[in-house]
Amino acid sequence: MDTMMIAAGAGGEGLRILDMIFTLFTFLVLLALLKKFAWGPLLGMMRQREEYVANEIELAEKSRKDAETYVVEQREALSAARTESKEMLDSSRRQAEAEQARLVEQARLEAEQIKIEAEKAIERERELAKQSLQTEVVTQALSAARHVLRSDLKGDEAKQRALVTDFLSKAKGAN
Amino acid sequence: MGHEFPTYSLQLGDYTLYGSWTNVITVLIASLLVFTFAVWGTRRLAMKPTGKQNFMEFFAEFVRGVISSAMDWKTGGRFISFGMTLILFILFSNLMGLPFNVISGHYLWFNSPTADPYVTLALSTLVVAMSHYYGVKLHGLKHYSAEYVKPVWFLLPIKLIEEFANTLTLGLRLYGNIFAGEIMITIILGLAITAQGALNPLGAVFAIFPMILWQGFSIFIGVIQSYIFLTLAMVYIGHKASAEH
Repeated sequence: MDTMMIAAGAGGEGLRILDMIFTLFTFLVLLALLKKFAWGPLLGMMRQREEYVANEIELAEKSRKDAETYVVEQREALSAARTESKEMLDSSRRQAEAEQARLVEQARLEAEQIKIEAEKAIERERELAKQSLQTEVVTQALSAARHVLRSDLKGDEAKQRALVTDFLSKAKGAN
Repeated sequence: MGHEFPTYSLQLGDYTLYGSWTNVITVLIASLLVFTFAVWGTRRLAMKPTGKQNFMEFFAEFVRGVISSAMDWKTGGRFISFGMTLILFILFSNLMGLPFNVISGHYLWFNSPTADPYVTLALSTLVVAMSHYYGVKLHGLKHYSAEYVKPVWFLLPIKLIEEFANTLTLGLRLYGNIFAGEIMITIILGLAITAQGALNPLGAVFAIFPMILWQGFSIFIGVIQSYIFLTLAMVYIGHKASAEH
């Protein structure tokens, strides 16, 4: 009790070391608590955002680069396709022309063939007709001769002439 | 003024240690306010910050700026939690005595904790102790000791005095500003109150305008002093902990 009275009375004069200790202790506890519950999460979130932004920038750069390569690739592919199609068109045109020429040639040859065959056939027919005419003529001549031989021709000129005319007209008619 | 702190004592062998209940009360209240504010401000954190998170991040960036101007960020990054807690604690401490003080009879129970030199000297001692600790930790005892005889050896006494002077000026600057502010408030208040403790209406009318002015100025002083304390703390720590020394 005595000391308490002195302490209270001498409060202004005595060094209040416990105030310093209490202040420091409380401050350090506050620091630890805030580090855990306030500043830690806050700074962590800020760092996380920083990393996120850096990441996003990197990603954007990468996708831009990718897009550029893609465009170049596409351009190359397009020009390749164009060349190829041109080549295909050329080759098909050449092929078509060759085919056309071949067909024309074939048609010409066939026509030639047909003409030759037709000529041959005509020749053959003519030959046949000739032969048959000859045979007919011979037959007619023979039959006329036979007729002449059979009929009485002596002295009758008019009768002879009629006979020949008759024969001739018959032969003409037979021809 | 002339009010005294209600004290308590602790007997340690031959030594008696003293402390004041006012200090226990005000430091705890200040810490509670800072803790509540900081934890409230950092609830529901999101990648896309809104409202109070924006403000808290601005605050963190501000402290980061103060630290960066005193030392490189590789060294200073570890002090950001300390810096944020320090400036908030001092700011709340400076401002909480402005609306009212609690005086009961002879004793002062509630004021700004920073209007007490023991609080400010405790904080400045912590800062200077940290500067020595990190000076040794980051650069080794040899490099740390060599700093005391640079640029020439006979500056050693002055360098030693500087360390104590830094501690004292850092703590007493803050104490002086806040204590003077509270004295001025008490004096202005004295206009409105008679010696018997009754309200003096005429005095109150005269007291209102200077009171408004002084309260505004005290808020300004409280903010500025917390900023100065943080800046100087980081300068002292940076001076010892920075790589280029």
